[in-house]
Amino acid sequence: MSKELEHIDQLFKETLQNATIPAPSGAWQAIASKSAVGSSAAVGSAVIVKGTVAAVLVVVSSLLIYTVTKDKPLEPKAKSIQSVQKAQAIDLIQEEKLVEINENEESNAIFQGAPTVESKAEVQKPNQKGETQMAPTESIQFGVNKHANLDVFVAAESSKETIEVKVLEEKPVVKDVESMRKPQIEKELRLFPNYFSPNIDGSNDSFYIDMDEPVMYQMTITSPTGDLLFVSTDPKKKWNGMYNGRMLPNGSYIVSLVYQFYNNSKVETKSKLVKLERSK
Amino acid sequence: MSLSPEEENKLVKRCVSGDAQAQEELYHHFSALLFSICMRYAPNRTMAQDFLQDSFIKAFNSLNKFRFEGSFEGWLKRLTVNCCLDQLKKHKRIPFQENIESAYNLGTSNGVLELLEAKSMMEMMHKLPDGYRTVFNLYAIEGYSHAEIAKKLGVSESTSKSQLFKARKSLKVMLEALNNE
Repeated sequence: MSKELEHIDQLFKETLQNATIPAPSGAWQAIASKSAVGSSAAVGSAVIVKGTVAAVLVVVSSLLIYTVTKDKPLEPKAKSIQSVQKAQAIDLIQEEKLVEINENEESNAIFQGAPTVESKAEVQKPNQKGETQMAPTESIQFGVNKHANLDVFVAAESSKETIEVKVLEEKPVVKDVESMRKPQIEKELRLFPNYFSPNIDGSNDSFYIDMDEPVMYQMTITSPTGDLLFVSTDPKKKWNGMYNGRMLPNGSYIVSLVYQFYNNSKVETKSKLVKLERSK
Repeated sequence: MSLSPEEENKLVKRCVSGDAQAQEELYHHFSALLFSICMRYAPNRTMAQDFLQDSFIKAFNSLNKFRFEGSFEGWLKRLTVNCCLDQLKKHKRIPFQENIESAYNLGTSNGVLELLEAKSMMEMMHKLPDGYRTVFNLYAIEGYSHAEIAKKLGVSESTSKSQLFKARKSLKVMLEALNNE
């Protein structure tokens, strides 16, 4: 009797253990909104004055992060949180030092302007070779100097080809670099919102900054008391109002942004108080 | 559809760091699996949905406690089971009603239909009293021992054993009824 019954265990286990049943369609909305309602009650709208004080700190700390991350490109939260906490602990003397660091940083950026052009030129070369090799006769014609068109066919067949191609390389490369230096369309920061409502109602649910693609970008979000909540080095990454898996309460948060549109352009810093409000 | 352990861990890390999209991805990856667990424990579909919501909210709030040791899916499943048990307790569905087994007449035929779909099995589970279903789930499907079940549910081991026995008998009756149709 009991063996037979244990067979039932086996039968149900095999069928149901890893069974999947599509969840009801509205379930996700309910989860998202419920968890939002659950935690929005607490701390709330306090301390905007504190916020502005903290904002200054945050700008400083985000600059520090910037200097750290500049050398080691992406070091996700754990380490950068530490560095921010250190930054918050710094006193005025250290802040002065930071400013110095920052100045160095900028002068470095200017200094780096020239080398990058060179490196681009180097990158361009192989492309040019590729193109010219693809259509040797054409490029030879294009670059033909004193020698007449008559030489074209000879050149294509003989070893002269490679020699002439090499001569050709330079002019187009220079042109390319210059056109790269002058952007066709000026990049811009389109929207830096000061409000968002992460309640998954489909509108304004996550926070992000709408801007053209920068070469360097870092957004940090901190609480009014100075705790680091979110760091992103990707402008496409949005923040959903969560920290450590928890929904943050309604209130104002400080967003600091450091970005640079071009390799040789100025490093811009902006910061703002952003209001998080889940209720409608 | 299924994620490699590294991808899972990556997704969890993104969720913990506050990435809104990652949460929804996580939900879509695991909702069907977790919903089937909730369906097993809940007395009906409506309550199963409540259980599912509760489980996900709890999961999101405690993702930071996941230590990346062992499988995330296993962690999530255990969390869901515990959530279901909590919900059942909250609805006063545990401790159990003891005397419903008489509702099913026990037959003796041996034929058990092997090719049962999950759906009809789920229906049978839903016909079980809450106590039977809970113990059967924990013992037969999740693989807990009677001692563990007793501790989890705050009942005695012998209650756990008797509930399991009754659950099996009830299921057997239902299987046979299906067989005779």
